[in-house]
Amino acid sequence: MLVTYEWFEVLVWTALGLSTLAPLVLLVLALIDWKKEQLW
Amino acid sequence: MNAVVLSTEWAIAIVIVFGVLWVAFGWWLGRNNRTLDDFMLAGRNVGFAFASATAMATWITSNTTLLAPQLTYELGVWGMLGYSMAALGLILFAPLAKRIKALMPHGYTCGDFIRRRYGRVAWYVFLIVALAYSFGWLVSLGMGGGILISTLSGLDYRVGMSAILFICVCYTLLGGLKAVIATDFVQTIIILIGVILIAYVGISKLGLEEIHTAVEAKSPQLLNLLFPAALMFLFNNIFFGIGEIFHSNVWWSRAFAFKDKIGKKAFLLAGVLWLPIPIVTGFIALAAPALGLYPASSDMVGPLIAAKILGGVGAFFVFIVVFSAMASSLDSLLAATSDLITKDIYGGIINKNADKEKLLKVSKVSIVILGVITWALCFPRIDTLAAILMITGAFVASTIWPIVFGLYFRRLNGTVAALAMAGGSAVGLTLYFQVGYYVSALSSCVVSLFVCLIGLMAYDEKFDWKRLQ
Repeated sequence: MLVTYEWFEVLVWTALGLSTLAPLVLLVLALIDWKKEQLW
Repeated sequence: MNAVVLSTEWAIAIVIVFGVLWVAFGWWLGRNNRTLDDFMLAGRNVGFAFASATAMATWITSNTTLLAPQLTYELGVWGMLGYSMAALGLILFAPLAKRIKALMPHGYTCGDFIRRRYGRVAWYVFLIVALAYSFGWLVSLGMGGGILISTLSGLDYRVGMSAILFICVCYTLLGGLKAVIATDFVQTIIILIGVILIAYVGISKLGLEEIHTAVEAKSPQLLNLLFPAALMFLFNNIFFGIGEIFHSNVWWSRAFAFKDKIGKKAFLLAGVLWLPIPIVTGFIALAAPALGLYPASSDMVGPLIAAKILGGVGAFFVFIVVFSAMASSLDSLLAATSDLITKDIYGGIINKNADKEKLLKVSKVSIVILGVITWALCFPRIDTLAAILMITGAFVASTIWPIVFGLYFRRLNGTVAALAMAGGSAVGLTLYFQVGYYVSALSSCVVSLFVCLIGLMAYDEKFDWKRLQ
């Protein structure tokens, strides 16, 4: 039972999309913490 | 095959520039550290953004950037999916982090918990397991640094390994956990941008369909959803990842260091954000058949493919990404293992009357000693990254149930917990050598669970939670 190209494409693009969001989420959270003076 | 794609001068320049930056940053962050809590636990006041980033960065190691492609190269789709399941460790640790902070608001290490909860016998067994794992991980990280630099730039393995260790020891020593966490944040952003860029450019240059077609024609087993060894690896890796996180002081020290009510959501977010990373770093290894690449050492397949597709620029990015990934884990491990040595071995066995000032000094000395021991163990390049890492799976998976039951149930007693850890480790190690790495953590976890369940049925100890305060 082999992974078809369609599923392979879904898997890779989903992972890549989520990974692209990750640094943005972290930077926004850091900005919020920094504004509230809650980094530490 | 000549793998050198980055000039030695460039490699040295990157190591020096990043080394100076991290060390200066560490010094700056640590300049106000005064107490043991400041140095070991960043003042117990880490906010949500840094907490999430440090949990994520520490879990993105050289193993994520080197081992995920290697496993994909060897086990196919299940290799990268199996590796990404290690995110479950972070996600499941989230409620535990909340419980740990509530039960032990003034705690320092996971050893503290085991000693107070189960007594000294279980604590000794746990320390052996925890230290075996810490050194296994430290060696795999140190070796990863040396292998990366030598493969990509031709610089001697020992020089690269020594440089990375030296830099991490310096800034951990100067800044303590605060430096570790702040550099983790920066390193996470660098790592994520790097792996995303490499993946996007790789897809645009090679094409996903071409990669899939080449794998289907030349190595169809890599796309097989019923690949037996890969399926075993998937389940083994889930328990390995959970065991690694549940028992390790790297994560417990973070649970103690995060602000109140931050631990649970930070670990949850880190787990969700980490989940896709091994797929992004791993899928590129499936391009090997399309490129006709068959590396002599499979742990270098990821960097070699990235360098082949992207040329010098790719090698540059790979170098920075893996360098940051290694540093983000190495510093955490140095700090957390030093805490364990300081609080448990020195403060708990050697000098029980040591005050916090003395412990602060011991903590700094033990970071240096750990660095030297790791360097000595890494000096002879003894095995592949996977073998070094996987052997520790037998140890860590045996701790999952004693920790979970110990945190939530009063019934389990210390003798049973010690037996569960020792028995699980022994069976896991035996099967590692008799069958393969892909069953060691799984078997260790099952044996440990079995022992714990028998203990829960046979004894009814009414542990007083206040003893953990």
